[in-house]
Amino acid sequence: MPRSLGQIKFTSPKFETVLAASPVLASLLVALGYDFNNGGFGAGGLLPQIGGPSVSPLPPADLNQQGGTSIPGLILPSYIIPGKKIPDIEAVVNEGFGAGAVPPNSNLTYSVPPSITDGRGNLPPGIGGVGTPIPMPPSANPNQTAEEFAKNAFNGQAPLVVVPIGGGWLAKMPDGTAILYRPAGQATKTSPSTASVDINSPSVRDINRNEPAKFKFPKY
Amino acid sequence: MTSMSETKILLAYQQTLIYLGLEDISAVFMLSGIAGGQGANEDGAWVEAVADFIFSSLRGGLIYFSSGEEFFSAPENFDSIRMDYSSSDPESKPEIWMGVQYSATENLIEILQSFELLNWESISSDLKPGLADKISAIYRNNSA
Repeated sequence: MPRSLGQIKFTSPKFETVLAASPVLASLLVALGYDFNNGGFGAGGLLPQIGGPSVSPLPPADLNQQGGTSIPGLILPSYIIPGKKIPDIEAVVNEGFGAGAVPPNSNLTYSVPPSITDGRGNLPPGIGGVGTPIPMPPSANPNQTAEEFAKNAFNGQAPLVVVPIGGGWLAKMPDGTAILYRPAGQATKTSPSTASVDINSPSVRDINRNEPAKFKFPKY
Repeated sequence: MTSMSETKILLAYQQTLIYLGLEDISAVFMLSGIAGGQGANEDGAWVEAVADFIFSSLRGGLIYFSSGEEFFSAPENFDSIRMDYSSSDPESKPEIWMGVQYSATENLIEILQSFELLNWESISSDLKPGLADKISAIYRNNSA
């Protein structure tokens, strides 16, 4: 069954907050046919034309089953694996160990997520050279910035296990990669307003002097 | 006089102790220069080296766990902690290998400061003979 972007609905409260803070993005979505009253793209917008003929919206459950990423006409970021839906990490943590799990996939080969590199396949410079903590740009909300960074590093996979750890979490991915998000206030040696993300995989260690990568997210 | 392999081990210890003096770290960040580091060896030499390092460093009063100790089977027992590490690896037990964070004690901070090693530049420096003697003595007295 052909599908188009007309079936997409943005229902996350966080997304609505982003729209409220970004009139340009909101205007763009309106121009593309997004109907804020109904929370979806209407038939008169531009997007249905991109994906081919308009079709009836699928129910949310069907979208989840489809992964929500294999949409004809839509160019996906290279780190998204079609058919694998990235779950809401908070929901996964709240539901407990193993929730949101997908069967291990031995065919998955981990590559360094483009989201954590400088665009040329290297990690940003560490504070004391390669293999030392990597300072990230300051932000107003280090916890939010760090957690989004950690989720982007899922590299298109859904975690097998998410373990809550001291206000943060540790996600174990199907390819064996482990990602640890620690909110501000956990570290003893750095500022109490700095959050951190650790990423451990063979690919990351290969480009980081055999060390996992540690990213630090300070506050403005 | 120390052998080449001993020097290599002491240098890896020095680098990890400096890291611990500057930043909270978990076990996966330790001793990457020994036995090829994580994932490089099939006989578990790196896992054993890290288990020994954590055991001796805890017992020698150089490090303490700053968070995550609830993942150990018996956090008050150093032998049990050593066993938790040596019987697992980062992939099978990411909770203890990445979730438990360690930090330097005041004693270690003072030792590093006395050798002017409490800075990121020193992490890639050569082995300091004075520090090597000091940590050799500490680990000799607190090994398994």
